[in-house]
Amino acid sequence: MDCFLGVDIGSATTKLVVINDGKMIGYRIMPTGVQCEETAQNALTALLKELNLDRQHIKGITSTGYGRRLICFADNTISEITANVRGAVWLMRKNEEKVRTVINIGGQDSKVIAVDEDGMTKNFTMNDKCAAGTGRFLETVTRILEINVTDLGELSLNAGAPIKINSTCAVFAESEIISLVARKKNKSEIIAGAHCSIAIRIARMVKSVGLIDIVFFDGGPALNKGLVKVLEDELATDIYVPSTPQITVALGAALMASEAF
Amino acid sequence: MRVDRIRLLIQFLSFILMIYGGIVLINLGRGLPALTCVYSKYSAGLCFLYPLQRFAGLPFFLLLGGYGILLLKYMGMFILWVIVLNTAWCGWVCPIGFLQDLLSKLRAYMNVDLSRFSWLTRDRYKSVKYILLVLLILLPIGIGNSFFGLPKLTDDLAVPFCQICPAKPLLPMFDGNFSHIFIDFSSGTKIVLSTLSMIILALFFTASFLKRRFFCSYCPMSALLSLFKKTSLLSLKKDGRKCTQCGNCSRVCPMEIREIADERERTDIVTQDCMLCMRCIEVCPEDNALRATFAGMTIFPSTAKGFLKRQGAFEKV
Amino acid sequence: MSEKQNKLNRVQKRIKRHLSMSVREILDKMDEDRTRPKNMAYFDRLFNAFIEDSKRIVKKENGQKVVGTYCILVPEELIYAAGAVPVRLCAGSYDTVENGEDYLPDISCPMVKSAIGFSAMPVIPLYQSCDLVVIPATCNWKVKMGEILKKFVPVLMLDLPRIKESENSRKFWLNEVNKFKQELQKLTGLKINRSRLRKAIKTIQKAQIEVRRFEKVRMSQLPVIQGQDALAVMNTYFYDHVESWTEAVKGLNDELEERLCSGKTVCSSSAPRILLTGSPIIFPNWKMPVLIEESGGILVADEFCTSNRYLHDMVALDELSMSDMIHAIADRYLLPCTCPIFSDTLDRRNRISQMSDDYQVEGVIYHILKGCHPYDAEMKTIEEMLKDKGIPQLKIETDFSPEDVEQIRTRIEAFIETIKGRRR
Repeated sequence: MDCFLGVDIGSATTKLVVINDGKMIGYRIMPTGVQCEETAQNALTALLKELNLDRQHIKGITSTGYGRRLICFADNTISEITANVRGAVWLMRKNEEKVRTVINIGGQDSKVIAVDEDGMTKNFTMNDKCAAGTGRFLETVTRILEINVTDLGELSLNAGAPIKINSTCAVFAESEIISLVARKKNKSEIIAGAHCSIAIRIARMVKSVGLIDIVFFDGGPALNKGLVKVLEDELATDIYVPSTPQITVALGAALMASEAF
Repeated sequence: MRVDRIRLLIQFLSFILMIYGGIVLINLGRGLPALTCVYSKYSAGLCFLYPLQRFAGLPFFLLLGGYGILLLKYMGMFILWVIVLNTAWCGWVCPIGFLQDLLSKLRAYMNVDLSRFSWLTRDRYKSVKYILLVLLILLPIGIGNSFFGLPKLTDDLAVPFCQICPAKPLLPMFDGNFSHIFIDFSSGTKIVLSTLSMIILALFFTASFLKRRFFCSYCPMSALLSLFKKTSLLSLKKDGRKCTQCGNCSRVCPMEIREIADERERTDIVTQDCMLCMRCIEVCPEDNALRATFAGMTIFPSTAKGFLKRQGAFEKV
Repeated sequence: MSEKQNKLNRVQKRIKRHLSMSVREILDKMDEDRTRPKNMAYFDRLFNAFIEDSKRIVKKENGQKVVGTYCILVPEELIYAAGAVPVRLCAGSYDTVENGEDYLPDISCPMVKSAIGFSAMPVIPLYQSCDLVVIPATCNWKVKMGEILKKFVPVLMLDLPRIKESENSRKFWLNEVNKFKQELQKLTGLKINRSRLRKAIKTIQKAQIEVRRFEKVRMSQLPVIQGQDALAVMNTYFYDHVESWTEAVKGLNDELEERLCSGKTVCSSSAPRILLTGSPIIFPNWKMPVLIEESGGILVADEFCTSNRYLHDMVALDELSMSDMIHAIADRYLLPCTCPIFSDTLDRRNRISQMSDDYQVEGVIYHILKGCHPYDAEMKTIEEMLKDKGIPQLKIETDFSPEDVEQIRTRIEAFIETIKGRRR
């Protein structure tokens, strides 16, 4: 039994994906915490137990994400950009049209990657300098509005019209949202406005890289249906979101581990 | 390879050949693409402009007979010479060219700064040589034939270009013949032509001393040769991408051709003034940016190593 | 000592300490690398002098004048012929940028800020001990830098045409070069005559011969020297005396050519071959070359005015009269310069295109310093040209600060992975 493991150590969560014989057989998502090595090891142990596998069944491990060098049990590392593209292309392999643009919004960064016809990275742009347009921004919104991250999507879909949030900086946007709440503005509309802010930010990145259909969107915040809708409106095109968008990058890493074997 | 030294040697040998070759009965025909003057007693071959003007001066009907065949024979020889060597005749053989190069060397030795045309001047007077070429064909035709019933031109206008060409007073001097340095008072036309000849001779010594190859910018032989430059076997090619625009080539070019440096698209850069002296290739410091080719094969490419050797950078300090 | 002077001294000590730490970090890493050519030791010593013996960075004789320059457009042959010694002062230290920010806006050329910082405070005595500082008026920041530096050192600005193609602009530059010649003669009291000028030109040509050899070595498929080291070699030319530098490079070339025969490489021959272009990289701002080589690529070539373009083009002597030699020098410095401050990009496009072929480049990293508009403006043209050749380009916009090292690393790693992926 030849299994391969991909480990994506992100700022907020660590994701593990195990593949075997070209199929994904299991995954795990855990908060990264402070000790990423320990977290990753624990996640691995738990996942192996769940899948009824031994450590020796894992023939190759590739790590990715910002903490990729912090674990010692990986055989090699790969940048999250390359891993993301691999995962996205593989997930869409049965689709008639190919993936050409990948959008990833993570805990503390966001990226737009242009993919060429052969499924390789052609060009990319990253926002890893500020919280605007990242998961961190949405966390701030949930904190102020005292709701759960999982409620964001549904609440915003009920909104009539989004309220414009002007500040591009997440820190100042926070003040703006607090003042909107104080003025008793509708929660759904505020959330929709926050989604708009992110979407405008992402759209600017997409423009610099060039939008070609099919557009693929992953990362934790892709679970947010409200955000997906606003992004589709902003980009004026349909967006494909996988069923478990958080693990696409780890999946890509696992695929690369199997290729390296 | 010190092409400039090889060229100087070949120019010197050509000069001896062209001026004195007749002594040992060398005859290269009457279709030479260089100013190898007919007035030189022992010249080894004739400048084609002389027979061209002579035949042009014949009445038309004579050209339809044996004379025409003779003209075609000289023209054929001329074209053959040109196809093989292109404008290298100007740079490597022409005795007037050689004398101008000697004057330039004297100037450099005397440490006098050289003069250059301004770009405007050079561009403005580009067409003079073509006008002279047309005139030297039309005027003789006007002598032998009558245009639109107008009277024929005077015989004194025969071989009009030869009468003002600096080769006529200059080259016979090397035979000890100074008889062409005078003003001919025998007729009005002759006065004008011989005065012009003296003025041009004086200009030759002064202007060609200060500016390299001054005369060649106005030479109708050069104009005639430029008509064939595309068909010739000997050529100068450029790879625009390798060119770093350093401008060395244009700066050392005696004809001040800017196109060698400025041209980036075309590969064939023999322009109407180029005399294939190859100084540009010698000072090009990029490998294969400029190449002299013969029948498509590279015979002399520019190289960084060659450049440095010629600059004397390898000598022991 | 006054309170103010005391304060200044403490600030100066702090900057010196930081500079020392930055330089030490780079030199230590270099030291750990066992594959470095032995002959690099000469160049390391020069960089060490930055922190240990900065008074003696520049080798000069007693009474000899030192002329600081800020640009490759300054004709160094004239400086040597006048009996002075040229030193290139373009600065790469983050630690003095803060000082420079007292005089210039935050978003402005980091090189200029760093140089102003060095000039305003005696961290390295070199900057203030120059007898003359020559600044060609290239980009906006250099123009303003001239005015600011006048407070600390004597400055000579050289005016520059921006449109090289016209006859007037070339005459203009020739006049400026002649003016420079007069100023140098006034400075040293020594007349620049033909034989001294000829000797100066020959001396620099000897250095250029070794540089051409060095370029040939780097064009080969076998990577026998790292890009960081190659940049270090070219960078030391700023401060070193040309003859000893030439000797050192000759020794290095001999060692590298021998490595080519024996096959001793510094990394795998399959490492992606990268060309760096854009705003110049100056020691100790060594982020970019280090990151490229730590991410698995090899820096085989660069198109920087602090490196490849400094010594590539050669003065071509025709006649040996003074006016002809000056004309040749003026042409060599102005015409092949591919700096983006000139109106036409065609020359730079051709240069990079030709270099990509010569060095078998697989990817180009375009480095832009924040506030450097000229290089930013040309980025898209170069990208288009490279796209036609099938070579990918990565844009990295950064400054001298070490804060964004990890972000840049991620981008460079992804870029190198892309190149490897394309090969299959």
